[in-house]
Amino acid sequence: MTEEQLIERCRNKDAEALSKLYEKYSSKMLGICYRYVNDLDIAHDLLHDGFITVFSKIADFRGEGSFEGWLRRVFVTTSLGYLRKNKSLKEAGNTDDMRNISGNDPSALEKMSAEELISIISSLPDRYRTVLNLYAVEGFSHKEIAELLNISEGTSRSQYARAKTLLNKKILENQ
Amino acid sequence: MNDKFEDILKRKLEGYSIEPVDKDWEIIERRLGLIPKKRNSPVLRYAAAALIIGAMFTGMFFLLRNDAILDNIVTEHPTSDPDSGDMGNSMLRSLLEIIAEIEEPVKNHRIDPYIDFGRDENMDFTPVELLLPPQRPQEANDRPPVPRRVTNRHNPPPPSGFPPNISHPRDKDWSISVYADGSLGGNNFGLSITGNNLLASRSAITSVNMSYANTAIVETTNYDHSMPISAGAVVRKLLNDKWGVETGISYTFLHSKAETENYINYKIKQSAHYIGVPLSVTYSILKRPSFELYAKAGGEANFNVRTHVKHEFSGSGLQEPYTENFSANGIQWSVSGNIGIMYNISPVFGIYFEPGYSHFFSNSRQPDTYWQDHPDNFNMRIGFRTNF
Repeated sequence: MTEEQLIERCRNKDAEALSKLYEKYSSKMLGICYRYVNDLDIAHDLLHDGFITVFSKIADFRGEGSFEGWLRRVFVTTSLGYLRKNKSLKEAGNTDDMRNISGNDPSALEKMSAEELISIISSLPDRYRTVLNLYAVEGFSHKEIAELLNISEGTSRSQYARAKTLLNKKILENQ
Repeated sequence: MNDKFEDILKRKLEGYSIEPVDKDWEIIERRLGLIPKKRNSPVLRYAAAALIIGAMFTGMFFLLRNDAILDNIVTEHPTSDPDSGDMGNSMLRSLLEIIAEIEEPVKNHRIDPYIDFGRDENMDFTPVELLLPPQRPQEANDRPPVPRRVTNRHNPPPPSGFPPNISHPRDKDWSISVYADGSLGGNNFGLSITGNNLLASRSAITSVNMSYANTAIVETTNYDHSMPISAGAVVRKLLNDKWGVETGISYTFLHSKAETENYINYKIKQSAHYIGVPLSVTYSILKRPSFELYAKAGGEANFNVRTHVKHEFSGSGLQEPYTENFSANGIQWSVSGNIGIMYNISPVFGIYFEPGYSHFFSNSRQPDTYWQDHPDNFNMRIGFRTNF
């Protein structure tokens, strides 16, 4: 079954198709939710919410762009909705300790596994982690991030810079 | 170099996966209606609540039964020779003499122990009949005379001036109350305020936004939480003249609605039903025959037995209205403090008012209700209490 066929059957509420779609994408989507909320129980809840949204709104997917990209957007939006609702996206705390960090060290980053990186990123403040995920991983522009988080584009850029600096600091401490 | 940083992050994290558990798909299936939904049977929760209440009553019963044995010591006038060397009777006599010496008010009031104070049929008056063995001649010279009747320590002789035939309602150890409770403050009476909070179905609002690509998260949602309404029954046990403990069961109904203004008009109406098990300690501040002033503090565990959400959309090209039902996991905990005023309509029946303050702890697993958005609020409880 091709993906188009799968999507079409999902639109028709075919239970088997829904199950196959879930099997194919659930682990990645759960990973997305966890990257944003940093809590496995809540990530599972958001996984349920996200798939409910996907299955109820799958008719709106018009084939513009990849289906996986559309799925990712749904789950990112679901996760951001949770963070927003729990007022987790407030301004991050004191950033004085980042002044003396210079530059990034991609080699150190390269040596780390995904799990180690996730563990370090999860220790960042919610706002920094969110902007870092949205820009570096999901590929949103700062303009799009500003709209999503109801902040200015400049704030998005500065938040991302601070997130990167703090991430590098933690990576160096971890070595 | 910066691009490489982003590239590495994207490469390592974009495909990061976590395997879901079997339960995840079951939950999704159930919410989609693909499998028959198990009736949200609150039997387990009711059973747990009943078990807690039962355990508390059992514990209190056993705790206080021992005191009652001490209070209701009865010794028959021994027919045996007091010098027989009966160790048990001798020790008991010593203990009772000590108790009698402690009961100074009896001696001071010079109350003839044989006066009948009048038995109120509704009053559980249990005077202690204490018949001490006759004293040996040498003991009569050494010890002061001991009253031949000692009253139950929980029911001392009434103070002078108190009509002997009228008992105070609080002399009864147990009481049952039924009440109704409402919260004050917040956006009651249908007033709406603007906020960014979402109601139970987060996915519904985000799904609406996903209909329009690149649309920002909902900026404003006008929501309206109606005043929670509670009703319940509590049982109170007096531990002594001042302190008491009470527990019971309650039901609370919370209704909320929200309307989001965006490209489309989207409304949610939510009804949440909770069963609660309260536990409180009471302290009597002032006690008079016709009324009592007391303070109360405690907590409550509330279980969401059912939440019903109705979604409505207006605008072209959107889905039909639909409803969802669920019961949230976890417990909604709260703590409270109240001042109570009780007016005694009769010795066994009264009406009471308990204004107070309560705080509901944040719990992201619970639906968004008045409790989540107004965790601190004042409430007024009105109830009827009967003593026995």
